[in-house]
Amino acid sequence: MFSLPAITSFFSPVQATDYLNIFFSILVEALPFVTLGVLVSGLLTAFIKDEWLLKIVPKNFFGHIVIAFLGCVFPVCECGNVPVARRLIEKGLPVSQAITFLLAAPVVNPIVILSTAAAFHFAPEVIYLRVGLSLAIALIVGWVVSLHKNPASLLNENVAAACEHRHDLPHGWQTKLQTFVATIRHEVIEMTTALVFGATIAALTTTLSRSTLTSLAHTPLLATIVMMALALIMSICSTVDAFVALGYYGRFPVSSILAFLVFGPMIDFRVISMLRTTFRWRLILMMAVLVSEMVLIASVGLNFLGR
Amino acid sequence: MHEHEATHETLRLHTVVQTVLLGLFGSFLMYLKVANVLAYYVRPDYQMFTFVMGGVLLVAALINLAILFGQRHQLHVTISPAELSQVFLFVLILTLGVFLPRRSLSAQVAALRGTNQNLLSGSQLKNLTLNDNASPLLHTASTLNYNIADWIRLFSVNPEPDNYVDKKVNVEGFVQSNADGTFTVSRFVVTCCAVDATPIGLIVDRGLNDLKTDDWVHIDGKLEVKEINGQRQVVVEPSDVKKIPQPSEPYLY
Repeated sequence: MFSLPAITSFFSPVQATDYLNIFFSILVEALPFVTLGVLVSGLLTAFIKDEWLLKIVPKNFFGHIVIAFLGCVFPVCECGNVPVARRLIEKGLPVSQAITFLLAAPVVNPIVILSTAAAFHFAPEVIYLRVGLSLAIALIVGWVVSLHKNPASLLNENVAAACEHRHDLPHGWQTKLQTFVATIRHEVIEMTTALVFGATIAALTTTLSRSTLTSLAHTPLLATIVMMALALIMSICSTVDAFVALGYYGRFPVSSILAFLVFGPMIDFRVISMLRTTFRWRLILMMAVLVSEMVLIASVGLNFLGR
Repeated sequence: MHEHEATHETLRLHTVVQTVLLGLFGSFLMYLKVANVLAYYVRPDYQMFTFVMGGVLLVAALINLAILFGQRHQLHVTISPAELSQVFLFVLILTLGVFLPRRSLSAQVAALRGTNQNLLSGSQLKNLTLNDNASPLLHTASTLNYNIADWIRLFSVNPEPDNYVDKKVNVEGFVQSNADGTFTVSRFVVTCCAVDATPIGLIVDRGLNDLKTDDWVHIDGKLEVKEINGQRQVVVEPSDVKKIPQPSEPYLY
């Protein structure tokens, strides 16, 4: 995968421009979605009472199911969801339910379902399986996290501190507006910092040989692993990843394409660096391992069923 | 909470700097659209969304500034090393973003990703319907307005090289040299953004001569069938090869 000529010639002006082009394409593509997510987060902070939210979402497993469909109300892609999830936690949502939201919402929302349907209109099972598997994995991982004795210890220091006290809504439209724009400022800067680090890594890896990677995919299992690695590296937004996956349809087994479509929105370099703004590494690593295992098992299982 | 600026006595310099950066990021997104260079990063139907969200950031920054300076604060000129390095990082990125040469991904990336001379699949076939498959060229009076992606789409659904003999070619792309001394005229096909750019190309049956890798060329000619490495392949017999500047929209969709 790391072919030598690519590395030795990396610092030539041509290679540097290529790297920057890819870096900026990741940044410029994600920034509008981050903005959308931060807008939602700002609205929650300034206008939605903590109690309202907790009334709608029960604390038990049923709450996980409700929260898994929250993406239908806030249709944003994975990078936009991080600020929303963090705000929900600060407003009193259990950490485990926030995880279910983070994993489910990038797929279980109208925009992504429509774009997947548009791309795979000739293979409807891809659409159903993508949504079904994403829901199942999100619920299972959320449930596993809910078993944790001290969920606050999974949170980043700042977020844990912000959860300590209750938040009263700001009074009067002027203070509301002030809270709203201050939230936007603070979170866009923080998320963009994380995004920049994610894009730095993702851009490095996309300048490496992709044909070598795809030539490794001799068996369905290897194909699945290769497609998951691609999803991890490319860090594409879930609203368009179906069209990218379509490029591999026919050359790769459907089971591996599903692995790309289910895994990518949950775990990739960009998301991982953004998750760090809210959670501790321990939880992020646990999520990444659990999700990878389940996607791998589901994909191999589908393969046995003849997909 | 994390908001210190709401207290009435102090306003931290870093809060002001952050607000300015927010506005600059918004302006940056809007600038890319206005300068007509977003095509180098994201696909066309994302461009308006990018522009509007840039506007949202700019407006949020302006309201922030108005509020900050509307209240009677005392400016505290303190900024931590971590905050300072964040500011430097963002200024660097914005500067690079504005002054970066607008250039298509290079032939080196194309080589790493593997240029395909006769295959495009999936989404990249979106413009073709089943009816076109039967005898695509019969429907078309002229192939002179076909770009490289159109050709490769045709080859993918109708791979028999003999179908294409003597068809007229009129394409633009960048030069990739081949091992046998000929070259390939290539383009990147983009689905979402430059991250997923996939190179495609037509083999041109001519030596490089004065051409260099990554030069942009306009090629007139006709298609022929040639045996390459034991495989019958469609190649371009060029009648005219002209160097051109890189087109303002280097990627095909």
